[in-house]
Amino acid sequence: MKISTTATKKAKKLLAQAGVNLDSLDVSGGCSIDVNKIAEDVLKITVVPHPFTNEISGVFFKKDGKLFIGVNSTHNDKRNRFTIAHEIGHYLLHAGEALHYDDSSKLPLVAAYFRSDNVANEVEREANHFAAELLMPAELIAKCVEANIKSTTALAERFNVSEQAMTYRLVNLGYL
Amino acid sequence: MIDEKHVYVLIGNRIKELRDKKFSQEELAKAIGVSRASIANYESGKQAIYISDLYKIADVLEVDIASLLPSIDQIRLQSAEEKLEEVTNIGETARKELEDFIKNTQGGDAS
Repeated sequence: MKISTTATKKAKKLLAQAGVNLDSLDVSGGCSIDVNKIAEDVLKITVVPHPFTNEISGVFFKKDGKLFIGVNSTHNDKRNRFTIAHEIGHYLLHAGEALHYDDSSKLPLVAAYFRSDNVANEVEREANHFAAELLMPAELIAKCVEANIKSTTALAERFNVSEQAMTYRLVNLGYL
Repeated sequence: MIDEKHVYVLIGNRIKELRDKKFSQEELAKAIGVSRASIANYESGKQAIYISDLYKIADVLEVDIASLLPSIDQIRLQSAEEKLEEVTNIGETARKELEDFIKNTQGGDAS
């Protein structure tokens, strides 16, 4: 895949910072990564649910020196988990230096929308890749497969992600 | 993710910035043995610069080679900003909604 390994590295680093130990984690009790907690506790990003129109899944921005992720409260929990992870990806991968400027007159300084079907550009693809790495670490999927949890449905349930997201992940990792 | 185009544009910006203080494009061209058009194309990022020319330019401008090279973060950011603008091309309604949301979001315990 052409996508940089940066997304993978940043996701792994973030999991480590959040105290998620991929080597010792017991997968039998479920593998749902607490992405809200990671956003709020580790990264100090406030997650704000809001009933956006359907085409907006999430937005990341900085205001008055504080970081925010808005998520569409009309979408289901699994989708919102992915959206939050995706927006964290924008923050860690794409926002970098832009956040050093704090010009409140320029409103959405770093605002990224995520339309469900619009993954045509690299930045969005990379954020999706990051989200997949964060929510479905390859190591944990491997452990589940070893423990004979192999169906997409069962894996999606275990990781608390949509079947669609899990399907993409399994394809990318070469399981499907 | 590293977009070739942004690499050359950002290097070109640096060259222009440092060259402007000392020389005209013509003078720099003569000093490193290329045409003025090449310098113009290097500075605008239209032409991929030879590494050897980059060294020659650093030498003539009396700067460290590193000062002509943008960081990876800067290149990524450049790409990201461009791409985000593309994505921002969504419907007027959605855009307005988003702007209002950002305007109305306050710090503190909004979660």
